Amino acid sequence: MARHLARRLLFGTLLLSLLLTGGLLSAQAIAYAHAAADVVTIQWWNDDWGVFDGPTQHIGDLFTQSHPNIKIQWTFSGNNPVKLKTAIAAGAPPDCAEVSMFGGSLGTFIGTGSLEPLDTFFKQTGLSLREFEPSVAASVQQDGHIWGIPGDAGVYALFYNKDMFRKFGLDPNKPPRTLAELEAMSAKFYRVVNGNVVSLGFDVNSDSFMMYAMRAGGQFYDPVHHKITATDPRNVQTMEWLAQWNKRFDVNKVSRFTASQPGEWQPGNPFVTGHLAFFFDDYWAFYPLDLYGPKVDYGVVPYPTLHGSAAEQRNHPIMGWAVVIPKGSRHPKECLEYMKWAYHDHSDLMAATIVDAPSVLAKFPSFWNMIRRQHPHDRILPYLNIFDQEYRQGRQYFPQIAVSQQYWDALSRATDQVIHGKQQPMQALEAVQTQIQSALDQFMASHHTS
Amino acid sequence: MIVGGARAKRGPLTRRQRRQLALGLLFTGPWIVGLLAFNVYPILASLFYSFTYYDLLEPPRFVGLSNYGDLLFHDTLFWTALGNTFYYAGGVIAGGTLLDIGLALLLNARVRGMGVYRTLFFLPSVVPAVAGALIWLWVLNPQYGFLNSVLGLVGLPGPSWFQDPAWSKPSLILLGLWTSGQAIIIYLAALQDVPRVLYEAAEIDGAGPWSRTRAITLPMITPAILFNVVIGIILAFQYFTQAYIVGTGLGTVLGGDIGGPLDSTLFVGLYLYNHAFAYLHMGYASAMAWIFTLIILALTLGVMRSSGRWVYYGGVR
Repeated sequence: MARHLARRLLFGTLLLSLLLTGGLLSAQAIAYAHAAADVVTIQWWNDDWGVFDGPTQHIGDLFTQSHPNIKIQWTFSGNNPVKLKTAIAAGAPPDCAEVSMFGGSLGTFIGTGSLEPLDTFFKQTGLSLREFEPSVAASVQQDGHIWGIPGDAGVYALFYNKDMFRKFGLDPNKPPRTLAELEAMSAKFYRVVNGNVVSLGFDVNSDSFMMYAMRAGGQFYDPVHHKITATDPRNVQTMEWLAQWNKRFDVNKVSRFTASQPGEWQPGNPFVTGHLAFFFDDYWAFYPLDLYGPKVDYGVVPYPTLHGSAAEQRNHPIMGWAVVIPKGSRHPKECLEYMKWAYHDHSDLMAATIVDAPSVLAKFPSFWNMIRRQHPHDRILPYLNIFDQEYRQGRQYFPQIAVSQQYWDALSRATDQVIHGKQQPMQALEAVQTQIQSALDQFMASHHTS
Repeated sequence: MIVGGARAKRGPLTRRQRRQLALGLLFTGPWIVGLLAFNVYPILASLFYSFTYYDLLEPPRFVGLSNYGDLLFHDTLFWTALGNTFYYAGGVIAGGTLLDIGLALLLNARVRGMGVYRTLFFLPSVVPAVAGALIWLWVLNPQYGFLNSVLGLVGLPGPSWFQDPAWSKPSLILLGLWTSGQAIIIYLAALQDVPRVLYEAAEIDGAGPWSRTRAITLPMITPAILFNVVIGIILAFQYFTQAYIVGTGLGTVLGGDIGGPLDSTLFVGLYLYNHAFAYLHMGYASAMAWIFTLIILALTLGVMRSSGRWVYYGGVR
């Protein structure tokens, strides 16, 4: 009798537990289903921007406040381009992503058909690429289609250390305007003790050959004939200039010095410690300067050009990053809603929050005002007009084609050979031209494009 | 089956045998499926893709032997990468074998605190590869690194290590030798298997320490040497992680391109990675992988073939 009772009790308890569990699970499933129907969560993949990942997410949160049906799940990765390409190829891409124009990355994505075109979206919303800075606008276009929304636009100006100028007997009110002046001043700052560089003017290898060549008016691609033009005469002249600079300021000694030093965004970097007189960057360099060199007296001038003329300012390359919809995105509509909100409608707020720059020309006045309000009395404020002018004038950009990344790497490699005296400039660039033209021809044959 | 001097005829399987076969296949089935899906299929697929132009996003286009031809006859960078890989492999295997055997002999001595010494020598091998590379970027910093500071104290000029094309591979070999704790453990185990009676007999015959090492110790641990050399070849030729970290961590010189300076740290693994995942040249990368596989196979077979002449199993060749 007792055994029967115990058995019934056990059976009853088990049945009750099963019913309760089933009921709870069902309720939860229903709740999730309701939630899923109301809110769309978009997967966003972004380069890892370090301290600016948080502010980037904050922009997304602000968007969700006004668009509660769209949430953004961010993934910041140091190797975003490779991850993104592999995910798209595997058919498991994120919904939206940020892709850099540097290194030819965006071009490779566009050229290999990894992205969804946005022509229809632009037509439906009335957006126009004419609203954006021309260089970055051109970078998101290929074969008559639009493949992304420009996210930011970056320019470079020359920061110089006025304290070092005074220490080395130069007039801090007469910074260099031409490349020749920059070289002459660099010679004055260049000091070697016991075989080690202890003071350097300008690290010419901190920028790429491609950027110097574009500033000199060099061209890297003929889009009409689909020809790689690495051996453009201005490219060759630029390479020769780089070779002689690296010979004059021993490239091995300088690279030893730069490899030993913290980077611009790290404490103790050579500019703030008085060992490097010049560096180039966009206005946002004020951020690490405020953090790590609050007492450094610095100035900013437009990037020196060959003759220092205003006309040469149009050769400034302007590149940045774009926001794109990968092929296979599950929520393109929601992505585009956020992209338009953050990178067009509120691009000034976006840029001011993450210490970047907008690419929508009309947003620049309000953007600079935000910067002034957020950082009153900052040392960078008197120089903001230099950056503003460069943004409005620059027209150059590295070609965004299917083999852009391979092209960029090949040019970097060629530069390495030339500045170390292993190859002559024309020889190196001819080899690049042959290699990349072959890669481009192969790609076009494979994709039946002409 | 031979029965009474004649081969028995093999009849159909009995019911019991069929059941046993089915059970065996059932239990090994998941492993077989995994082997086919994750090993055999990818290997065959990569062989197929090596004869195509394939960027993952469009269907592969058959190009015959064009990828192989370009690699072997037109791509100078591939030969550079191959040369670098052989240089590194030769350095780390030869240097590692000598160093590891030497350290194992020392760590086999009966001294107080030997457990601590063995732990210290083993520890670097458990440091993650990325962390190890970052540590050595600091140790080998050209101007302020620990090693150059020590060399400076004794009046020696330190090279630029990772920054210098002549020293970048030796620097990576140094990094590789630092992490060879696991090979030392294998040699230690082999040393402890050498019968003591052989040493006693040699001592009686008047053999000194070096003669005993040369005539007894080294021959008796040749199986362990063979094992470590073969594993070393396979691992050295797949070298990637540390070279990638060092390349991207080299700072602002040319944007920290991997393989620098002057392609001196461009290994086949890195070059293949670039073509496969950065440029999406899957066909080209597959061809590179197959050429490399055949090279490693030839090397390994050569070592195994030669082992008959120098490896002693249980004191017998």
